[in-house]
Amino acid sequence: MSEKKRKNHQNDESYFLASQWTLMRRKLMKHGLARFSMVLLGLLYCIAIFGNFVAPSDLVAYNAKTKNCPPTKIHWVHEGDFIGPFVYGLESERNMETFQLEYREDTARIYRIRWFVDGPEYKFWGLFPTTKHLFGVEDDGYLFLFGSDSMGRDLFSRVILGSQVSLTIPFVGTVISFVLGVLIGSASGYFGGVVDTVVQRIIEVLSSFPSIPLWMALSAAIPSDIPVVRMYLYITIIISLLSWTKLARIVRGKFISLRNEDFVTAAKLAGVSDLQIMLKHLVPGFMSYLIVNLTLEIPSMIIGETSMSFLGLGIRSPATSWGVLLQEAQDISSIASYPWRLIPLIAVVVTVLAFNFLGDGLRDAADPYK
Amino acid sequence: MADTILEVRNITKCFNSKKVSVKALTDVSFDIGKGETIGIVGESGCGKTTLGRCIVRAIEATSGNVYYTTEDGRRVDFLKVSHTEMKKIRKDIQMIFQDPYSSLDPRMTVLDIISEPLKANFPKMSKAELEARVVDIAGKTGLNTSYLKRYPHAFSGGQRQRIGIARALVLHPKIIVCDEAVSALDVSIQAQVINLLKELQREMDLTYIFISHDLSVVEYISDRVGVMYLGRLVEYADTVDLYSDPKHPYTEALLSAVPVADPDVVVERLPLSGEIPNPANPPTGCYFHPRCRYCIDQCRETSPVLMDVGGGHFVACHRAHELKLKGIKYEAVALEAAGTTSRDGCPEVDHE
Amino acid sequence: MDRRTEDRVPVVQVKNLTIDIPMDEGVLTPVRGVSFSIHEGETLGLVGESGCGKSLTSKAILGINDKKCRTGGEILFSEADHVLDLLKLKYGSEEIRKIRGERASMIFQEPMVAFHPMYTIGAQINECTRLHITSDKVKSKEITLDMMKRVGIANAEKRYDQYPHEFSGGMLQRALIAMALVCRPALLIADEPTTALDVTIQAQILELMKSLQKEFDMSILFITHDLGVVANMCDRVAVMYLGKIVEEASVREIYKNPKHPYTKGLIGSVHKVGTHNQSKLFSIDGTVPLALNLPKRCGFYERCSSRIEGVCNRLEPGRTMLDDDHSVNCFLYDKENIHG
Repeated sequence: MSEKKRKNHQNDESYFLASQWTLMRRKLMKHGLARFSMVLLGLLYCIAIFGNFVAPSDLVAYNAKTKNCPPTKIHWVHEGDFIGPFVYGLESERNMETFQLEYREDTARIYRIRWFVDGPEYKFWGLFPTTKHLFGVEDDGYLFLFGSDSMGRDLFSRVILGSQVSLTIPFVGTVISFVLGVLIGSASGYFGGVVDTVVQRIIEVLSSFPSIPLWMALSAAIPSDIPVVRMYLYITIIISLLSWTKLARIVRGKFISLRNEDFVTAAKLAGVSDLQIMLKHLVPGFMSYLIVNLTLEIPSMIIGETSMSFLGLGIRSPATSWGVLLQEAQDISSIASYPWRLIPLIAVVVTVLAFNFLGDGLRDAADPYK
Repeated sequence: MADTILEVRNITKCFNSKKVSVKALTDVSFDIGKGETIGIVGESGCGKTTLGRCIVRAIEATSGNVYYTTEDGRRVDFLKVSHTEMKKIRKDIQMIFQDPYSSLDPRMTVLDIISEPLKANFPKMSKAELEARVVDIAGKTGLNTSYLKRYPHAFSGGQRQRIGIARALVLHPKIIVCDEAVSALDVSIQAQVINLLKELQREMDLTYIFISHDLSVVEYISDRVGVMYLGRLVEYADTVDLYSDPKHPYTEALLSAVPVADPDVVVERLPLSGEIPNPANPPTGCYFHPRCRYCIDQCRETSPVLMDVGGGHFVACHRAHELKLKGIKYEAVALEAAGTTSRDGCPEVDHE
Repeated sequence: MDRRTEDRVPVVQVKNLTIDIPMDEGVLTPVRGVSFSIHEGETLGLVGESGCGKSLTSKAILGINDKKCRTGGEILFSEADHVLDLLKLKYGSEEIRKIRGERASMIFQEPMVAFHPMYTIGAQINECTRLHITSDKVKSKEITLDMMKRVGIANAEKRYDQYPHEFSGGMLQRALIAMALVCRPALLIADEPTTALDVTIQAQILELMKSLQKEFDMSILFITHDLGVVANMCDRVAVMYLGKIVEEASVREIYKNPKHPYTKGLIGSVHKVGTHNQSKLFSIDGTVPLALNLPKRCGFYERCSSRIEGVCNRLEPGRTMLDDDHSVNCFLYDKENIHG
């Protein structure tokens, strides 16, 4: 680290006492986009965690009467009076020329949007049953914030419930890749020789597989009648099987470069055991790089899972994810007639962007000593 | 003559890759007495850094021995010692590194850095005792106790070197290899660190192997000096002996090239022709013969062996007995006029 | 004011050069009013440790500092019939580019990284020739080869087509000197040119520079922290500390008769080969402070063992001429201002 940088904070005691993580955190906070992304992602994950509560409807509320309904407009003023957020009743009529249902607002019926309403029953975090939802309308009113799909189900709720899968599978998958990558990469970098050669060749073979055909093959091996959670797990494992290789390479590279640093030699001379050197000097040495790479790994996993489900290879009904939702937006006629079906795409894009900005900020902050 | 504490014998180090084999060190041998400072000088490719690392076993020598006389009088080969024995004597030989920025783990506090060797060698030591020993050595190296909680990025190059020195000394070693320990520092900081090293040597009865390319610093700090060229030790003698009466042509050329910090001193330069040869492809016979102005046929054919030419002065040259080489003219120890060091080291200030 | 014994117009005259760099934490002032002149055929040594601002000062002459740097003062460069203020030239303009390489050029510390690894040495040196002397292919190559021979590159024709990685450090520095001098500039700025080289190679390069200087009647601004090299190469020496020149004199005077406490400390820190002086090396306490939001006082105040309380920490010392040749910025020699 340059003398000038050190001198910039010459009288800042807190700078002197700051560990690497503190310095990283401080620098990260200065990055505007990263800060914003962190808040956004925090919000998205919160919504996903409380998904069943936040979503006004659930996954199985089929209703032939509300097929392909456009997003419901929220009104605040009725005939000149301000009465808070509400929606009008829904009336449908079949157009005799296009044979499609057209919806109109019935201004006679008013359904106020309320907080903590009763809705479809669900198990809160799988623990206890409840009917409370964050917001919604009374019994026979319809609130389709993002419109409805071809089976009359509320897209908004489906997007939220889908995020539970789309946001967590990549996370879990990344953790698995992380563990695999660190273990295998460390062994490869530390032992060198034959171990290193074998591992590197394996990594090369795995990396040269085209991912989608491989996923197709693997998911065809999953029986179709297993419970949702197990299927979820299998999908996660399949995705992380290929992505650990990138991390392992990074870890190995860092290991090799750090191995020759003077402070590692000094530790060796002091009599510190090899294992201790690995744990105390080498692993913390590349931790910051790993964190950055992890953050950038998650978006590719999101896209991976979304792609798989979109192709029908991943999550299947009745479970849902953003990829499954996008299946409905596959043909041009549906997009032309029902453009709100692309909203899950916006969700994917926003999430991936947010992770990328965060990763950028982390990468800038990752070497606070430069 | 001080008791011998370290006997380096025939150290050879080869670096092998698929295509090339580089002999970084060839048959290096010399003795070191207890409490002495041995300076090792040479230019790039001479192998002095490799030698230092082989002695401390940071890298493994290809062949050779380093006989260390322990405190209880046993003479063990440091390079071939058993695992259990190594655990006992590892702490006796330590190293101080050149780069103050890469020799400290930036993720550890100063306290952790200095106490790490203690934790590794005395796992049962209590936290309080660890801290006490760290505070003690920090005081000796001029580090304030408030520094202990800070991270390395808070410190300048000179202060970092002190931390490195404290770390090397916390185990109370007997021998320290200083690998260009002051080369990366500013001139005035160099002086601070050199003074510190000398003080610590007296206080803790240390033996130094001081590796450097700076002949002025080496002359100041060393009792004996060894000159290396392309992996071989070509001359080894007492400091004043070597500097005033060199016996190897390379030493002569080296000494004539040193810029003296005095504009009045006119040095007759003996320019060396050519370049330092590629260590992967050394010349035949004496490695120095292509650039030597005194070269004869024998030099091209056979490699000279390090011999004692009297008074503890060793040289590896076929013509050592006949050549009269030029060294540095030594002045009397008289102090100079205004502006240089007085007895206690403070400059005299002239008031008009 | 400053009056030199010679009435010659100096090749370059730096007058009150200041460089500020605005930062988040305030304004960094690495150069705070530097003045010196270099005459024809003279070598001026600019000596100081890290953080004193010597590199920035030298780069300001050629206008190659970062755009963030705000430069003030004057740098007067003497051309054949007029004097040019280099600081008035626009950043990156054609006029300043005409000066660079042709009238004033620079060599750096690390010759290994000064060349592009993918072009031959000959082509890179020739680039300078073609830009400033002649664009004729044959003629320019001749001139380049001639220069390469002069700097001592054996087998110049063969070496012309070789790449930087095929040259050793010393050879590369010679090539760099060739590139800098091919246009016979009036001023050569050498920024630590031998620090990264072995001792014997350093001696060769310094000899080369001295002989070329004589041959081309060139002035050299020699920047270094190595007091041995300074004694060897320079006619005059300016000692810099924290952005100011604290003492300037002939090289003999600086070594035999230093006046400023910093200069004395610096000279005292260096062990001279050939004296078996075993007393402690003098070392200056403390470290160089940061040039950020500096208070109004002598920059050396905190570390000075001869400081005068109430004076040195309240005012900045001005330049005192001790005689025609020797100037120092210190209240110890400025009796008038102490009581003023």
